[in-house]
Amino acid sequence: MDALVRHVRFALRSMWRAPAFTVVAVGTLALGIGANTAIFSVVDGVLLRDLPYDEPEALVTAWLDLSRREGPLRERLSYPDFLDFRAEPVALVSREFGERVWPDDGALGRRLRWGGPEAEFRTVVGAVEDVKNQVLMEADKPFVYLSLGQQYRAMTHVVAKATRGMATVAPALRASILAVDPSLSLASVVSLQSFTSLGILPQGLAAGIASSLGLLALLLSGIGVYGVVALAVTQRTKEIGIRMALGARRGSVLRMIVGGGIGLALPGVVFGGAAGIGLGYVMRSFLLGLSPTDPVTLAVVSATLLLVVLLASLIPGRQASAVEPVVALRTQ
Amino acid sequence: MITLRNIEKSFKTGAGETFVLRRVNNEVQKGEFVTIMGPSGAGKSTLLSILGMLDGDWRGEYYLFGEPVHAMKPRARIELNKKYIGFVFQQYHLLDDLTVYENLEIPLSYRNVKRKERQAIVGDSLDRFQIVGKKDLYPSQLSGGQQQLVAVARAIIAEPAMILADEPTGSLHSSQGRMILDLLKQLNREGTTIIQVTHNEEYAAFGDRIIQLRDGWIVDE
Repeated sequence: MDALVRHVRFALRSMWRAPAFTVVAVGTLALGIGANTAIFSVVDGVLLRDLPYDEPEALVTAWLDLSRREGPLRERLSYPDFLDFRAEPVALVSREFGERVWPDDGALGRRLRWGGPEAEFRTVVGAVEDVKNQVLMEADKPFVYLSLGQQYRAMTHVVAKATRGMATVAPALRASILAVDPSLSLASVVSLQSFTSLGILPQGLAAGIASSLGLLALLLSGIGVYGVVALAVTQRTKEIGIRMALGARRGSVLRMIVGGGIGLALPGVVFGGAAGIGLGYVMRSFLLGLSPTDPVTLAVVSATLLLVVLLASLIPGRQASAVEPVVALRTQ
Repeated sequence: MITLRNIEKSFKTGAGETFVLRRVNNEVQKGEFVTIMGPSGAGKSTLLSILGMLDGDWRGEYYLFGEPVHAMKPRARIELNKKYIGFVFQQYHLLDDLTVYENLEIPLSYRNVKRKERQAIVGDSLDRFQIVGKKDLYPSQLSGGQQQLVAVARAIIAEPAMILADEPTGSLHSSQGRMILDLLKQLNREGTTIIQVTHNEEYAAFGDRIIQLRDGWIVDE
């Protein structure tokens, strides 16, 4: 413990006495951690993170194509459709719709006519949150939701939550729907994740490029951090020789060198973490669902660069402490 | 105390082998003050580095207090070094980022001396060398003579049986040089074995005997 305190004190003092080098070393590390945390937060938020539902992989959307059925409209409807038809004409509106049309008094209980002057009036029975209909970046649009039974559409989507994988779910869904009406046609069954991936395609592409750049940035950060720390260790070769001439064992010297490296790394992690979180907040304004304080991303990036610092301390440190003290002492 | 038999050191060169030391045989008794002299490139500092176990790449037999250094692994040599040897360098080799106090503390910390005990020993040493007022200064804030004084204090702080001094006055002016030699002589009188390397005839005379080296050979004693 005593030795550890001395190593830390010595490392901090060395940093204090060489401020320019310390700023470069800490800055390199901070830049690496900050930039990589921000980039990988985007990649994680757009590409890797699951949809915000329980068991998102179990959600599937089935596209029912009623238009292929034959016979008059009434005959093309299923029993559930028929039940919906019996209800009073109603509608749900989106928050954006409500705020545009009835900015002061709210939408609930209001009446609207949807589908032209001949259409019947409907009562607004609820307002729902705005949704992204096509792509993630689109502005909130006004939406009116009608009952399928009251506003017939030949093609529709059914969302189901399943407990098994897609391979089992698709035939089971098909069988269930055919059991209701053998003339129904199930166009496709896809997981909700695949379905929504189209909506985030631009972000997905951007994140794909960003992830490539991120890996490149991580590699460059690693090389930069390695170079800076290894230079710092190499410059201590003479000191290593003096210490070994005074009785230091190799292990003790290596602990001191690694301690110095960690001493450089810790401020880098703090500043880099803060920079990464700051950049994340900036990016969050145009990337939904991005968490700028994602601890896993920050931890993985920091751990990766700390590992680089450790290697950059250990490899030249081992080389320097392996030579005879008389050789190390000649180093300028 | 020290027995050297056929100590040789050489470097491989393009054409063959260049010898720095050739068949060096000698004995040093406990309590002696030995001076090694010779022209530049004679092998004086190399011999001192071998004696101080700062250099392990040589051939021959070296016994220190009867222990065969030539047969030891590096770790065992470090332990033997810590037990018996203090080294004074021409360029002082103080650690620039440590204060005078901390420089003196270093050899003790590598010998696992407890903190309280270290404080007492370093305090005594600062008193003895009359550098209490400089204990919080860094080497760069000291004159050459003061730095070498600290280096000598560091070399003897763990009470070694032998001090090896490689041109300890080489970077000092004459009055400072004499002060350092007086100090080494005083330590020798107190029982410490001293082996010094020097070019200076006046300082060489502080020793009980002089070993003359030339081109790696002992030519006179």
